Amino acid sequence: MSKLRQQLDTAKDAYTSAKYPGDLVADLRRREGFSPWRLLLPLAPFAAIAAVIALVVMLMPEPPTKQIGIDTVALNPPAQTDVVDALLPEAMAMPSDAVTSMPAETLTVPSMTSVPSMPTIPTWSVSTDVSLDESNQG
Amino acid sequence: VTDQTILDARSGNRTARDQLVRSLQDVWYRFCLGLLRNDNAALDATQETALRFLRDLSKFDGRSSIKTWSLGIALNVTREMRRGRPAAGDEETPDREDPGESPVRHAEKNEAVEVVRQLLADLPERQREALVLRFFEDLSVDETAAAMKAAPGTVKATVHQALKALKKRFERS
Repeated sequence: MSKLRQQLDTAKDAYTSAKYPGDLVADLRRREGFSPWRLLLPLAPFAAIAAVIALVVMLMPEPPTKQIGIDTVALNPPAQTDVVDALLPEAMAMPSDAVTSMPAETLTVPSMTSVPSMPTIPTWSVSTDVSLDESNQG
Repeated sequence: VTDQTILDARSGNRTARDQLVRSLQDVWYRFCLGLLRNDNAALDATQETALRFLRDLSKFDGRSSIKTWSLGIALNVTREMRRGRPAAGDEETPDREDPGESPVRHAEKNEAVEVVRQLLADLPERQREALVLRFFEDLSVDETAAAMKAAPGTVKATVHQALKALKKRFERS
């Protein structure tokens, strides 16, 4: 056996003894499982809390307008008719008979006596067995 | 690995796919290590090979063995990695020591491995690939041709040229 052959065989032994260090399947799972979104995972609880706070603020009813001074003006004042009615004395109330009722009036639509009929259109028939030449001659 | 395992893996059976990957992980790793001569690069190449292997498994038509077919994928990966990184030199990984080996034998073995490694490193890329597949992986000419996507005649000629160059360089050294 030549020296080169011996060297090659020794190198082949070393070559075939090489083993993958670890479990390739597990390494692949780790590699495939990695996603840039996973970097944001620790921030998820904070994001959830922020979302809940935002929701609560959005759903919270607006506080009533406090009339502290002249400067405080309600932009959309509530209808105060009930309050006014309650505060007004009875004498100032509008009598119920003051409201005039609508006169009962019968509305009649003039009826038409009759609709004139359309004039009659004269009918004519086309003879199909008369050729164009014959009609020209005639 | 049985044919049934391959069929199951092709149809997406996870257990079969895992079994297939585990049965080939050492083949891919040593092949990538043999061509890239760097532990970390070989690890990356092995994982990339496995991902592509699983991705393309449905395309496996059974014309060659699953090992040969997967070595073709590994070959492409190592070629891409070699193109993407500087030629191996100072970054080569030293041999791991076998604790059960005598220091003298270990030194001799290391020397032999280093000599062959250096001789292989000096060969053109195609010759080195053909020699690793044919001699180190014990593939037949046809299997080597299938993995390299080359004609069997081309593989024969390439291996012959590689051995001739190896012998010449060995004698010179």
